Order: sequence, then C-alpha cells, then structure tokens
Amino acid sequence: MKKRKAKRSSAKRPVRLKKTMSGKASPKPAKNVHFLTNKKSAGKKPLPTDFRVLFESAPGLYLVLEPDLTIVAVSDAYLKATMTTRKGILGKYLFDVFPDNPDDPTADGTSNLRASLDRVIKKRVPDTMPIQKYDIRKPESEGGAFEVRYWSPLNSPVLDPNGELSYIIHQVTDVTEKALEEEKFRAVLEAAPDSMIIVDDRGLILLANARTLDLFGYQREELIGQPIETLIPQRFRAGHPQHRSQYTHSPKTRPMGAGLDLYALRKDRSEFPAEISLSPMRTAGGTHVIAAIRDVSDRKRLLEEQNRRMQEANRLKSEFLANMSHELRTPLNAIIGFSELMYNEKVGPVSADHKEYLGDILTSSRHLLQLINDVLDLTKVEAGKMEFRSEDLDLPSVVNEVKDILRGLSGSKSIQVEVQSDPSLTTVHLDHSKFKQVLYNYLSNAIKFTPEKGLVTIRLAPDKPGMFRLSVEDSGIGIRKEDIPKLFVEFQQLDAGANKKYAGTGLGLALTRRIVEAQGGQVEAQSEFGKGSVFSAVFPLRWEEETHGR
Amino acid sequence: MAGEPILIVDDNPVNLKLTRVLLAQEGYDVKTAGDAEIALELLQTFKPKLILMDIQLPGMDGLELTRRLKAVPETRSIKVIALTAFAMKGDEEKARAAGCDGYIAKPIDTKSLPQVVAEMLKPAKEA
Repeated sequence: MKKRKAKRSSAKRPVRLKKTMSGKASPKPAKNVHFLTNKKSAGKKPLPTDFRVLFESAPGLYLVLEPDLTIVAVSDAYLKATMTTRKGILGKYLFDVFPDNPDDPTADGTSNLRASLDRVIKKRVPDTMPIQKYDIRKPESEGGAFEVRYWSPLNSPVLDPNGELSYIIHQVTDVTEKALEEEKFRAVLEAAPDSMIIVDDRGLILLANARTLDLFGYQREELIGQPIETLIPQRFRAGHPQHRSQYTHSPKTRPMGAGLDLYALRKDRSEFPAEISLSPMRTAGGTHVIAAIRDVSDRKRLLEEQNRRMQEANRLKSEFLANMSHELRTPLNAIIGFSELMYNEKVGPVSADHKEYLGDILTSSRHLLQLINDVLDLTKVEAGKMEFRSEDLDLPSVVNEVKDILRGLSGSKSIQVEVQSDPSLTTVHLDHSKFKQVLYNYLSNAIKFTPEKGLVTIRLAPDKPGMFRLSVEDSGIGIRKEDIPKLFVEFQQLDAGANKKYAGTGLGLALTRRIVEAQGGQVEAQSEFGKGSVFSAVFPLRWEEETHGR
Repeated sequence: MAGEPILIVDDNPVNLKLTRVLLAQEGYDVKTAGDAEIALELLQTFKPKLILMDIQLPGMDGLELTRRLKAVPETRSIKVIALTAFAMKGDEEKARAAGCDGYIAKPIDTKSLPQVVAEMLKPAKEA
C-alpha cells in the first residue's frame, strides 16, 4: 500500500521533472522537489530529497526486487517498455506479472532470468544475462498481444551493512534495434547460396550458415569454435595458418588463391573444388574474416566437358580436312600425271594449241594441288601433327638454294635479288625444310609483287638475344596500312584487283606464320603503299622440337 | 636395263593406269592388281623385282600385304615402294615399319617416278 501510494504520488511528476532536467537553465525548481543544502558542497546545486522520484524518472529500464522477487520499485521507462502500469506490478511477484509467452513453447526468458536471480541471491555479485528475447504483453486496452523485444539484463545485488541481500536491481538495456540488425545480418547470411563462414583472428570458426552445413556435412555445433583448417584437405593444411596471417596483415576483399585450384574437405573426408572469396570484418574482438565458399564441381565438370568436346570437334575437323585433302589429291594425281604425259609428248606429238592448253590444265591443277597441300599443312600445324626436325643449317647456303629455285621467276622479270647477311650468322639450328619454306614464301611473294627490273633484298641479321631476323624487302606495290593485320590470316587476300593479277592460294602467309610460331618465332610485315614491303620472321638461333609443346 | 618385272597395286583404276603407262613407257614388264587378294594370286606366277604399293586398299591394306610378303622367303627380296596420298605425320614411319623399302607421296611426279624406280632396282641388280 505504501509503495503504491508513493508510486501514485510520483506518477504525476515525471513530465515536469524531465523538463527540469532537460531544460538546463530552468530558473525555478519543480514544485514537489525539495533540495538539501549541503554545507560541504556549498555553491553546488542542491540534491533533491525524493530519490524515488529521481529513480522513477531516470532514463533507463530498472526494476527493484526484494530477495523474494517481489517488485518494490520500477522506472517509468520500464513501465513504458513493458507496457505495464506501476499499479499493475508493484508489490507483485515478478513471475506473476512477467510470465513466459504461453503461445511460444520455446520461450526461455523467465527460466534464464530465474537462474540469473538465483545466482545473484547466492553469490551476491552482479550477473549479466545473455541477450534475451522477450515477448512483452501489451495492455488489454491495446489488445493484449505480445511484442518481441531483445533485452540485455543485468542483475545487481544491493547489500545491507551486514552484507545481507536487501534488494536486487534488475537493469535492462533494450538492444532490440541492434539485435534486429544482427538478425538481418544472419538472415542475409542464411539466405546466401554460398557457404559463408566467419573466422576470428585465431583462425577459429565463429559462425557458419546453413549452406555451410549442407556443403560440408557438419552439424553447427561440430564447427563452431573449430579451426578453419578442419575444412581444408590435409595436404594444404600446413601452409594455411601462414596464408591466414598474411591475409590479416593486408586484409582486403579478394578471391583466395587466385589462379590456383582450391579444394575443400567435407566431414566424410571427400573433397570438392571450391572458389573462395575473403573479406575482412573489423570487430571489437579483432579482425575477423568472412569466407564465402562455392562448390564449383558442376562448373568444373561442365568446363572440362566443353573442353573435351571442343578438342574432339577440332580433331574431327582436322581429320575431315586431312581426309578431304587425300580424296582431292587422288583424282588430281591422275589429272596432273596424264597432262604431263601428253604435254611432254610421251604419247606422241601434239599441236602447239594442244600443248598450250595442256599447259593451262597443268598450271591450274598444280595451283589446285598447292591449295590442297597448304590446307593440309595448316591442318597439320593446327593439330600439332606437322613434323619438325631441327638440324644445323648453313644460312647462306640455304638462302642461295632458295634464290636458285626462284631464279626462273626473278629472271623472267629481270628482278635483281640481293643478299645482305650479317657475317656473325652462319650456322643455326632449325627445321631445314620449314625454314626454306618460309624464305620461299616470302621471296616468291616479293618477286611476284615487284615490277619488272625491280630490286628484292634478303637480309639476315641478329635480333633479340638468342634470335635472328630473316627479312625480305621488295620494291613492289606495297600494302595499305589497314590491310597489314589481314596479311597472316587464312584466306584474307587483299583487294580483288591485285588478287587477279597476283594469284596465290591465300594460305601461304598464314602457313608461314604458323610454321614460324611453331618454332618459337614470330612474323612481321611493314609496308609503304606504292613503295614496297618488308616481311620478316624472327627465329631462335637454336630450336629443338622437344621444346615445342607437341 | 628394261624389261624388269614390276607389280603395281592400286585400287584407283585411273591412277593405276597412269603408273602403268609411265613405267611401261620406260620398258618395264608391268602387271597390275586392284587389291591385295588379286596381288597375292598374281604373285603365285609373276615374280616382280619391285612392287609399287598403294597403302590404302579395300580389305587387306598395303601395309599388311607388305608385311606378309616380307615374312615369306620367296617374296622377301622384292623391293616395295609405298605409295600414299595421305601424307600425315607417321605415314612414312609406318610404311618403313611394315617393311617397305621406299616411300612416295602422291601425286606422283611423272618425271621423278621412273628415276626412283630405276634407282630402287639398281642395288638389287648389283646384289
């Protein structure tokens, strides 16, 4: 009754008192507040005598209990937060007025509170409770439903001079907003399609989402507090703590082990290929790391499958081209052979017209044969089936050989072919016939595109260390700048006008490029339209076929 | 010099004819077979010094036929030149492994074929 009276009298005050306390320069003390003038603290603001008023008005959630858990005092904030009235709870047994939500069978708020209070009663020391989820019953006037709040309660004993427990102050910090944020964070974590794990600075697992449990086959309790190395295959474990500490030294969001194949270990000791990204998370307890782990088995399988299919398709293509070349060459064999027989008058004399037309058949069929051979060669290089046999070769004599082969062509146009060879270059180690093929392609092109009485120069010079450069310069029609990139591409012949006059297969330079690259070299072309071109190939001085991939 | 017996085995009748005409013009005693079976039958009575062997034949291929001929004392001494249009890596090695004495990639050169044949027959004559 007393308590109730006190409470009721105080119930009117808080508004005014709060005003006083918040309005710093209030000139008049509130009507019902009395001040003591303490001699010792002269000059200071006098303290109010009615501590109950102060207590009840204090911004904070407080409940004062007697050791038998009867509620003897409560702050206004507490009443507001619990949607109760002072009249409704003062003098009542704590658990009569704050029961568990009967609709929630998992509610354990009261039993946790009871345990904490028991500890305070027994040990007489403050007891901080873990964050509690409370369902607060709304007043009947508001429908009486329950509202969820997250409270962080602290129970402190108030002892009398004999050290006996006289009261317990139950202080509550409402952490609902924070808890809801945390809940949101957890919900995001749980909703993630990847396994998400938070690891502390010692490498222990603090948190793992549901996907982690699915993926690794563990129960949550089996993982929390365990070293993250638990999830790493044995063969990678030893090095991992070092990687971790490196990460903590320069923490930033990045994929883990970029460019490496990562594997993760399930509880049943099976492994799966994983993609892992790491993000630092700064907390009061040090820098934690969030690891997002994705099982990439399916993707890997798909890629491997695609790769296998591509290789198969490529193999089929090469096989098809090889077979086609064979099929094309067989009838061509007869066409060329019989034309030659007649052209050479092995089967009797032919008229001049016959001979001319037989010559045309021969020229055309040989061109066709060259095309087929080039296609087959390209296929062979692509399929890695072109044979390379490196041997010592004497550059000046190879150059003269090729020059001799083309003497007929250059002579017929009165084109002068010059050779400028650096004396330091004599013997190199390359595939003899392939080198000849490259020079032949360059030189025959140069002669073809140079007008009568023009000049073609073959140059041999040292290049980058371990390399030399073969270049063929002509004084021909030149190539437009925009056309240069097309030069070494299959069937990319330049404009139709030139094409008709200078018939080629459209494969020669593409093949040249492949042959040069297969021997670790590279091709280049420079040109000035209307003035001439320089085609080069940079070769290693020594090349062994074993060093080539296939 | 001429008149030496030569057998040509090729399943393509036109190519067979071309080779035959070329070598007959050189004066060789030329016989032909369209497949391995016919060749084996012919060899019962015809004893050539040299065989121009197309590798790709229907049924028993040229490599197998060469292996058989090289396994038998009566035919072992016959020179075999493999003929193939399938100039892929390893073809020549395969031909040599089967016991072929020479290898010519098609299309045959009407100028060089008689030379190759003459060359091949020379050491046989001296031996």
